[in-house]
Amino acid sequence: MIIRKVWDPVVRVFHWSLVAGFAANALFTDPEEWLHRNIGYVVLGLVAVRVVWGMSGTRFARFSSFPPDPAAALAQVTDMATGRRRVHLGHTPLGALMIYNLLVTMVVIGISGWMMTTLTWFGVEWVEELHEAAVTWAEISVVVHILAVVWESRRTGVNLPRAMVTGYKRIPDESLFTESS
Amino acid sequence: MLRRLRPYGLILLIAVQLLCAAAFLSDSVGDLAGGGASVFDRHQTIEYVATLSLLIAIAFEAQLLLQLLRREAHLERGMSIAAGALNDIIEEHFRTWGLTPSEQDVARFLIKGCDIAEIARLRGSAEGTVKAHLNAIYRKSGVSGRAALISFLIEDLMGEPLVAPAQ
Amino acid sequence: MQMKPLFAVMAIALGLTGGIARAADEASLTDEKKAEITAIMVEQGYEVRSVQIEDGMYEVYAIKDGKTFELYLDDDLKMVERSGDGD
Repeated sequence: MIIRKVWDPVVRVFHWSLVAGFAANALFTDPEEWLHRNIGYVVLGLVAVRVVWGMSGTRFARFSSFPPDPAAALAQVTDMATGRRRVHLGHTPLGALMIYNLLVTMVVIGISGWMMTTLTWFGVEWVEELHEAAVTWAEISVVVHILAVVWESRRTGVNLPRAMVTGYKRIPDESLFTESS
Repeated sequence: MLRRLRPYGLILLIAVQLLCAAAFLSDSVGDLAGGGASVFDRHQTIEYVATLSLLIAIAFEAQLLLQLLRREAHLERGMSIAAGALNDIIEEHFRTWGLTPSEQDVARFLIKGCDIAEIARLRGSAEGTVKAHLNAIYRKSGVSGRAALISFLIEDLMGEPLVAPAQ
Repeated sequence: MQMKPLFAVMAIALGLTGGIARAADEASLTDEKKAEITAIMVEQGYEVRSVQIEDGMYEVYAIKDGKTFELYLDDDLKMVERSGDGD
């Protein structure tokens, strides 16, 4: 077993805070209420912190270590098709695509939500519809994300959710390594 | 000459069809939940058929995509015509023998001349796993080792046995 | 092929989240009703932004004196509830 430190505290706290915030607003809080709006603003703040950290933080937190790369994503799918076991130390190429998708979607949700509180856009239907559509898209993405993480964990033998909690990836010895950036 | 294929178009098609299937499905669920229509009127039935055929199409396309990727994993850019023909024969036999994707990958590395340690490294598996794959390959194909596998394929390519059969 | 169950789950998840969200009653609000409701609200001094159906009642997003309001009207178009900045 090879053990490598991968996720710093900022990345980990961000990830799970985002999970809590999104779950709270998508499932529990009343959209009309103060709490819903403020959790939304907190989520926007979290994304802002992650973006800054992505440009200035530790190696695997940086966006440059997981750029959007269709060829690499295709290579990852090829690994799945051929039964090869390649492990990425940081985010995988497909994981990267999901992350950018979620970050952008959270921003769309947050901003459209804020717009609804302003006099200019209050009651304007497309804003509310955009907000709801973005939330539905986020929910679908989250389901896919969870399925994908479970699938990848089983495929590569690396417990990914655990790694996002402890910060360490425990990798089977034989694995094909790709050190990103 | 064979070019490197990057099946982005196929992937885009699958993605679009997934979205369409989701739209139809959610429409059906919405109609049924809203109590606006009975379960099997014409509108509903068309939506069910559309959703089902989209999902089946997606399944076939995904299978095709994976096969394409498996082939691309071993083709070199600018392969000669002869190598291309050999590749077709290899694929046909793999299909006939019913090799799993992993077994196919191992067999191809074998044909290329890699030993067990190299194959394990290239695939990120343990050597024991590779040996298990090799056993399955030999069992399914009925050949007894690397050399036998390669002559089998070349014989096929040339259309006749390499050595004249004993009379 | 091991991907089939994954596809099935994804397809169902995709469909259901959308469907459940849209199981609301888009169909029953006619343009005439909207115009009628808008007229009543404008008469009371509101600027009407949108009229929808929510929870079996008519929901109106409106503005009055620079403050935002959500108003709920019953079938007889009587105001049942009002909430928003102004209250």
